[in-house]
Amino acid sequence: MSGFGTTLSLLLYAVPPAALVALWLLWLAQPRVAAFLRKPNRLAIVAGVAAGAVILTGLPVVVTSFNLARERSAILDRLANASLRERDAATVELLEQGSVTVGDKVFRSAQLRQLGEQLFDKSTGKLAYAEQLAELFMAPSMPEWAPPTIFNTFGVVAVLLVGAAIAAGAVLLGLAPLLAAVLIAAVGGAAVALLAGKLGMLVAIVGMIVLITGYGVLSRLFLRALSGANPTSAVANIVLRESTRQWYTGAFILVLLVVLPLVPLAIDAGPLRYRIQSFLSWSLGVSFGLAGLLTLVLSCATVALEIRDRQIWQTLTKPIDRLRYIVGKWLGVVIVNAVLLVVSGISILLFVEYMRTQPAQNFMDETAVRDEVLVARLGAKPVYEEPTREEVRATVDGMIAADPTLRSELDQKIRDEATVRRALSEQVRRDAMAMQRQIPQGAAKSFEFTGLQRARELESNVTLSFLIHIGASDPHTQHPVIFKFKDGTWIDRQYVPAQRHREMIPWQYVESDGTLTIEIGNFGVRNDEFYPGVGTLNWDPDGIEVLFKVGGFEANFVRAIMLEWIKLAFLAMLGICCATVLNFPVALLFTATVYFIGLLSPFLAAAIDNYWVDPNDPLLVQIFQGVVRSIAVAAHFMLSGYGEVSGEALLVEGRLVSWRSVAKTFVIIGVMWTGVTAGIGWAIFRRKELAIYSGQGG
Amino acid sequence: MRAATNQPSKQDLVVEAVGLSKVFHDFWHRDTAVAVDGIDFNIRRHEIFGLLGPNGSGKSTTIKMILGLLRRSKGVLRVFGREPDDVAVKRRIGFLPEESYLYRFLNPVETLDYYGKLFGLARRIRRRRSEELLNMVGLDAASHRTVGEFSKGMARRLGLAQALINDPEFLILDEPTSGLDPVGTRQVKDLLLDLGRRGKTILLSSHLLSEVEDVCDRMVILYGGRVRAAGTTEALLEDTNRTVIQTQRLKQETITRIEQVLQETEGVSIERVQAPRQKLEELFMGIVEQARKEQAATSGASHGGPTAEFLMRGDEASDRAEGGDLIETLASARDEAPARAVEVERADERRKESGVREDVLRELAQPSARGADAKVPAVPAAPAKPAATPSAPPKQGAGSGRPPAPEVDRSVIDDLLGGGPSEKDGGAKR
Repeated sequence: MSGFGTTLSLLLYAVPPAALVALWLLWLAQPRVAAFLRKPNRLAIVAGVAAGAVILTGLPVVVTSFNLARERSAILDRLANASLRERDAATVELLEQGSVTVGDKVFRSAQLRQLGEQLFDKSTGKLAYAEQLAELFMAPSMPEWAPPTIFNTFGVVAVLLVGAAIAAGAVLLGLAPLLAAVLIAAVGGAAVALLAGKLGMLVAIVGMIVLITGYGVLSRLFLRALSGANPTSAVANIVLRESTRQWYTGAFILVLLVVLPLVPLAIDAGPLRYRIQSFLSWSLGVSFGLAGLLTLVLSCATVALEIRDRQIWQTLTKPIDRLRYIVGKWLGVVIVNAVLLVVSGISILLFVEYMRTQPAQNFMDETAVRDEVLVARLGAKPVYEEPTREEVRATVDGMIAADPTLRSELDQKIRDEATVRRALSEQVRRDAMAMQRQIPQGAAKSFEFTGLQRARELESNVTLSFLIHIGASDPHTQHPVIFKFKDGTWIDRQYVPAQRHREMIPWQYVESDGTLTIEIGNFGVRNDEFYPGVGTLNWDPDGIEVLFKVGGFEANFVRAIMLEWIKLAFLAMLGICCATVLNFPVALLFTATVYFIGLLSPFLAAAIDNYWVDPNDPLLVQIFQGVVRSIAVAAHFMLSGYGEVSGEALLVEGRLVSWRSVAKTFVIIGVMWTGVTAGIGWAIFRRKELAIYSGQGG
Repeated sequence: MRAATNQPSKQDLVVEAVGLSKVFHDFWHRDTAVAVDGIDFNIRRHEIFGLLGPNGSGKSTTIKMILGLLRRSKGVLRVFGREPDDVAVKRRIGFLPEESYLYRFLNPVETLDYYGKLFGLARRIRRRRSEELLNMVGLDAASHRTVGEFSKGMARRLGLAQALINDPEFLILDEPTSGLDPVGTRQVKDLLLDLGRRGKTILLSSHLLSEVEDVCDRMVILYGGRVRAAGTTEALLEDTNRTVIQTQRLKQETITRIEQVLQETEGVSIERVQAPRQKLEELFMGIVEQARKEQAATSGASHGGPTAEFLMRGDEASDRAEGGDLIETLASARDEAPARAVEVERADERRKESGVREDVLRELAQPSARGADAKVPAVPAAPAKPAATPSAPPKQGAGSGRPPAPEVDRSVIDDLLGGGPSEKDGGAKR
């Protein structure tokens, strides 16, 4: 690039960001500039000029990049089928003239004519360096007034320009000058990353710009909506301002808005389906986790600190009753959560859609993304036959008759027959069901999966998900299993015990009534001969499942966000009500305990199953174990509903978050739990004396 | 304890407390402190009521019970005839606590907007009142700085503004001048007097006795949670055993002659003769006024403007009136300014008092008691309170509210003291 071009590019691309940064510095240094910019019309003019400058300088880049990309694509299309063996027109032109013709334009390179057949792969005869050749042909077309890197990423530049325009619009909406300064700095940083060729960091910075701007715009809109002459909305308005202006909550928001765009940089390379699932898991984890922590802190702080610092005196000596005060605080926290979840949710969704367009490793990877990841699926378990009451009774009778000791104890009334029979009946049922989930060595069993009509309607492949045990499950060995379908076709697979595996099954195997029949064989095939498995194959009640598509990813994503929002709304009310009677640290501790017990309730359930009072331990230890178990059981009973439905886990697995589950969560957690908590909190708060005896003060 | 005169009707009472008590308990419900012990008092409409007492006497506790922040342990407490925690009552009250407990992350505009919304004020009214109040308290230049950056005095001013945002009927001020400089203190006192003339009822709690004395109509003095004294300011402070006569500068012989007359007629002698001193407040105000005229620079709170129009005129009038209607409304509002009953009563008392003093002076001026060359300088009517400072401008539409003292028969006095009429007008001075 010529010296003049370098100078010109520096002028074109350095001046607008430099001007914006200078304006920011002026604003910092001169209160008069800040006062000047506070007038809406002036601010509009300055923002418009700044946005116009960025757009005017960036627009030529976008247009030029687009044209260059089109030409490059045309050259690659022309060279795609070039073959030394077939001697097509493009190959002949390349060899003889060192050029390629696209439409009415001829791209020529003298060096290529000299290289001749060296450009082709000797074994296949195909053109080996198509991309590099395209770059070589394009080189003379590159403009001299900007670095070439910029033109290779015109899409990102376009996004940058849109971001700048949005930033200008956000400033017009009256965002704080500091926020505008952050955006300006981010735009500058993005420009630097672009020039340095760090595309990943560029995308991340652009993501930060979008998130911060989106959060600011949405917050400002809600502030406008809450500006009416209503005490409840006035209190909510204050909470919204507090969330960004106080360090103890603003930090969470800032971390979320900055860290979230960096998540894609942490995703390892690999199959596309795992990259998408990793991104979903990480990004939703970060978003929901930080939103949860923010809710804990904000809901406790906004009331407890007001009581401590006595701002509540100034509020409750005005015509607002205490119930409206609680509702107003709650509404404010709920709105903060809504803004955060909407902004982060939109950014996650957009990035997932972007990842969807990325090339998959192979056909299976592509199919998995389409049918297993970016989808909403329901699961169908095998139909097992429940033993009838008569069968159970007969079995229990036989067990009692075969056990003389037990018979004698029952006859002598040492043990209660009804209790014994009940216990034996449960055991018989469990054993009967477990028997159905076992396949002896070399044997096979047939299972039916029903309710799969939707899969057939959508012509969507289904996924057989299985986690199998065999004897002493050694995770380092593999064992054979065969799946046979109704039409006689079968597939053999190797599985690792205690690990979940997936097998895609064509939708055509689902019958018109929605039934899928699979025969599972505990044997394998070697050298065209069958050989049995090494032990009895068995699985847990949820060990085998068929997953089938019932809806799209986007709607599922929205429902998952709604689920999380409802759960956070309960958490907010809990924090606020605790803070009305407890000080900040205690209220935060209590609310956080409830939150984490709720989150970990599935693990708690498993832990409770394995935690018993040991009669061999000393009495005091037994008492302690009993108390711990009782507390755990009570906590799990009360809070299991909070953790059972996790939108994040369902989304990552491509499972359906149904409207029914959203409605159920709304009614139980959103209305009942939140309402009861609010009622208890209000009943206590309305009697609370807010002014303490000061002694010295009067 | 002196009982208040003139039992008012229930409708005239803003606050009524009978046997009011507050006992604080610990977690085990044991009594830890008796903050208020069976006090009786009432606050009438349109009066400025003082609540005095040392630290720990129960002043703030009483105020908090009135506001519903504390529940009473015993007794009766009514505010506007209702329970103190009735939300409807709070619509009519403005409260300035002993410290300004404001949100540090809001600026003054946002602060007043928030409190205005709690009162259900429309945006247009909130905006207008906020502007007027910030101008009044001298914070218009700092309206976009957050409260966290404010000095104590600036926060206090903002606290006063928020107490007035709803144009309250009943204003409760706990140490209103705490943290304010003398200029601000003077403004607050003037504001209270303005508001009083407009018919507001004000409960003022303060340690600064001079500010209570200057503005209050009635007061109650607490100690240990009990009322030790109650009554009008005049009745509580009047020293009926002394007479003060203030004149122009006198010669020593004249003073000696006056003492002789007093000894002969009353059998008393002069206890003290001194030149009155200018008050420090007057000196301070004069210096500040001069600096302002010279436009000296300052980065603190500005002097502040006049009392907000909506407080003086009534917001409904200013909302409705346009053009000529506005003038008519102003005129009728001025005419309708409620006369505070206590002020009329006080004016009557002052007239009576000056009449009594005139009789004394006439008696002193009998020919047997004076010399032939005695010149009697003009004697102004004795004011009950110190004179107002010359810097306080007359308030528009408010009027003085106090009737002028009657003219004295100066010829008698002139003869007594042997002086001619003074160069200055001998009319009543304030």
